[in-house]
Amino acid sequence: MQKTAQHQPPAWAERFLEWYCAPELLEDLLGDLHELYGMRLRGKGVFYARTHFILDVFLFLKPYVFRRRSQLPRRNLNLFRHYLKTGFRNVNRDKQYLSINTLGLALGMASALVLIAYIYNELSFDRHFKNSDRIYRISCSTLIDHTYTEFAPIPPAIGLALKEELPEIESLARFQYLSSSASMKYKDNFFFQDGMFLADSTIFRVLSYEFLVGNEKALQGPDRIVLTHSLAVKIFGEDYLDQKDLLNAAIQIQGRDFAVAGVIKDPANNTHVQPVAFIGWHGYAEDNIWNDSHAYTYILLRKDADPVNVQDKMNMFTAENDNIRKVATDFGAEVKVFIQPLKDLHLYSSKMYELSSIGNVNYIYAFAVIALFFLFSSAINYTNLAIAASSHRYKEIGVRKVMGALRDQIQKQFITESALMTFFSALLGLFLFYLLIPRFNQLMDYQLDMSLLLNAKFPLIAISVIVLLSTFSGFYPAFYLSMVNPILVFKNNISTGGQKMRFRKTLLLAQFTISAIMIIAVLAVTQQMNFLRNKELGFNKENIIMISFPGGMMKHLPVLKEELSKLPGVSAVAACSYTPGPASPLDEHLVERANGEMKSTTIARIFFDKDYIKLLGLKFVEGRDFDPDSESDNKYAFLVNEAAVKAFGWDKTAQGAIGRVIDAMNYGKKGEVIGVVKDVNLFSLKHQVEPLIMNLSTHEAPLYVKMNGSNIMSIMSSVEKTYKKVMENTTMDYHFLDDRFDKIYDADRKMNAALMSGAQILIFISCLGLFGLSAFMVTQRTKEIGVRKVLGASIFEIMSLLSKDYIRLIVIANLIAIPLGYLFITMWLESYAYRVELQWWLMFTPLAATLLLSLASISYQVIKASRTNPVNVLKYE
Amino acid sequence: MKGTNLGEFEELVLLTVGILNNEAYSISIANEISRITKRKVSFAVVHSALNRLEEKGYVDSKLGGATTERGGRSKRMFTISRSGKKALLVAKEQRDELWSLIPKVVFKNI
Repeated sequence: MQKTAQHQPPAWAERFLEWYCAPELLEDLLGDLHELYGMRLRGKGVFYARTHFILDVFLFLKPYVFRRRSQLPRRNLNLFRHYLKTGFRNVNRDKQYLSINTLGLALGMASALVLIAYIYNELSFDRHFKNSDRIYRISCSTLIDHTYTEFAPIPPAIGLALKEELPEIESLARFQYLSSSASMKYKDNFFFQDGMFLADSTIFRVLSYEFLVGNEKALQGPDRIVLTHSLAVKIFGEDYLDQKDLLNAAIQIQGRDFAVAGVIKDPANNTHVQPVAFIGWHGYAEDNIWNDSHAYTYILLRKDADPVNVQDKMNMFTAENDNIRKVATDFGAEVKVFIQPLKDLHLYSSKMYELSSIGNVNYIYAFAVIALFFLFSSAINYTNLAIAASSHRYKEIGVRKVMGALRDQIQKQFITESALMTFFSALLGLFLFYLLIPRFNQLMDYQLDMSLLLNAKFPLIAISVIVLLSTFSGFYPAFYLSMVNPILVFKNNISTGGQKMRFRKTLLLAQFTISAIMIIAVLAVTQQMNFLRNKELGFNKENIIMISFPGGMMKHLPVLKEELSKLPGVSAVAACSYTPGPASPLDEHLVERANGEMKSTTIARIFFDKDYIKLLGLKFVEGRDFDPDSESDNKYAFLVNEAAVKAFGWDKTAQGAIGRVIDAMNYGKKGEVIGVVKDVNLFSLKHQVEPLIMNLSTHEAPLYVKMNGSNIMSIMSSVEKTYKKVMENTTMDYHFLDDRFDKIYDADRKMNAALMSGAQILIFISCLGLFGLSAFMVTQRTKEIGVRKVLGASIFEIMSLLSKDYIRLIVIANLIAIPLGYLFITMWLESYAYRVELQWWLMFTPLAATLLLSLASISYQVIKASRTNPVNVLKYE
Repeated sequence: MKGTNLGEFEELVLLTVGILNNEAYSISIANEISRITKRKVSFAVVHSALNRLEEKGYVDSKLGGATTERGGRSKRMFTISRSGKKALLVAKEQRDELWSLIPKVVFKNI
């Protein structure tokens, strides 16, 4: 007997049997199995007994042993009506619970939906083009002196040659930018327009744009233009479609006449090509250029073509083509062309000169995680509250069971109730979704709109998210409550502690861990952003504006510069080719190395006039500044920065940097280095200072204007006045330099904004849940509190008694969250060359914040409970 | 209604219930059959046979005889019912009749 008492048959097998076996058969069957187990244990040992016990349990999986389903009528509409009625009554009885629970769930749902909408939109980029799975872009790469650079456009001649060579290409279309700010004239309507493309007539065969007027043959023939709807409105006015001579109307662009050949719909916002107009390539743009990448080249492959095969053929072609080989030797480069699927361009392609700012895959991952956080957190809230709220309904369930309700009927009742509740939440959630969309667009500088809902797939996704969320959060309470044992209920013996409490606490713990991680992320990202903004760049970026020049107006530059520098409050004016941005303006150069050898390299280069160095306050380490009056300085002199000196190894030689030869083949200039400028970070702080070559030039835009004095606004207005006077009354387009620098970190700032709002919502949901939960906890313990007060407990003691559990929970949540959050943050900071030192107090902020917020949310209930007069709660005992 | 014929194994089980008199429950029955027939009889098979016999009304059962080893759970004790006795007698009579009809020479030559 001793022996058998120690060894019990496997509990899970026993539970399994209990689950499937009909109750009337269970008792003796289980008894038999135990007896057999005991016999086998004595005879053949534990292992034999256990395996045979399990075997027997499975041998009994026979129909006659199974639990019979209830014999009552299955679909009882009356009963369902009854569930609905009691459901409504319950919901009505506790309005606070109703509002907290629906609001929490709805908010979680809405926020998650917004993020899902964003992810959906990002993933849908360019997929609406016909045959989008067969469209590829041809891009190219160069490898020069260990520097690998990829370009989105390719030389126009390569595209043509590939079309000749590869039969797999069904059609090919190239397009390139017309100069920025091209002048446009139609009758008396005159303006400057950006974003127009010169395009092959085949463009509409590759990229299927929808025509409002005309057809896809529109660009066949010389001097034709196809407008987008919005440009057509800008030229002809809203009712341009009624205009009789719309087709063939002559528009003057850069002084040349073009006939309108068609109007296409404006491109959708989820496409990476955003044309304003297409102008016929033929007769305008050069075809026979092999060495300059500026033609964006798209191909439509035949249905039977294998892209891998096509890529192989292209590799062979580039290796053998004489023209490409010549270019490669000229540059000392290895040149390759490769194809990229159209669908991948938005998210995965970040080459030089992309057509539009590319999407960020990291956003998609981050947002997917945050969306899950939202769903998880609101489901936890719902489950926790639903269980807590039903604690005063045990008696109801007990009575129902005694009256003969079956377990699945109780489940049905509670599932009906939670379906009712989640239905309200879903309605509210959709409304909140509608409200959140504009806020999201504003934060992220993004375009989501309700047209998503017209698309067949998104509503489907949204509905399945809602249904899944409702089922998950409604299922557990229903399942749990149906297990209530009526005998225990009536003996007043139902415990609120133990297993159930632990489950609820785990959920709460998870919720607060998530909140704390979000707080850490927000804090760290904010600190890094501030750090970047205040970081010394090595030059002064305050109070400098950059005035852009429309094409064709460059001739006014010297005059404008002259006039502006005369203005009071303007301390310097300079022209420079560079506007701060995430990508540096790279170009190929032949550079003399430390040992005197000339080798080609890809390096950033900028052009500026004589005042630029002074305007930014750059310092010289060695050599001298350009002499504007010297003919030779204009034609043959270069400045470099310290990083370039290091990169070429000049600092290790006696000769140093001065007098080193640089050959800039692409802009036909060969000369010597005359000075070295102290390193300043003109580009992104994500990288260390890059090597830079500087050239003297007078005709560059934008124009940098530095102002000093206290009243920037009045100086600005006089600058604008001067501009209008000189520039034939066009409006001044300008940016502040420090704004432009901030723009480089736009992506990160948007991320931060999104994180911040996400964290706020998550914490709000968590606190909402905590508020609701504390209400139920306090009601359950009113009598205990009453007795304690009678026995002399102070208000403070009671308060600490009630909050103790939560405080412990939150401290544990933070202990989990802090290392996790720290890990994420260090990973993220890796992407910056200059990063902020994480402060020690950063770790305690989430702790303090979550503690304070949660104490605040339970305080109302706790204070209310501690202040009640014990007489009121105890008088019925 | 269900068929009331008595299968071979069912007959065996029913007879064993009789043999064990007041001690017949699934485990003891399974053990007894194994002992007499020398063949391995699975407890699950006996259990389902008893269940069938009870459905046909050939045995009656009541709960009783709990032990510690069974975790305090009762046994289901079986006794032969009136119709069970009848079915056994019918089976025996049929068999006896068949025996009596076999010519004696048949066995001699084997």
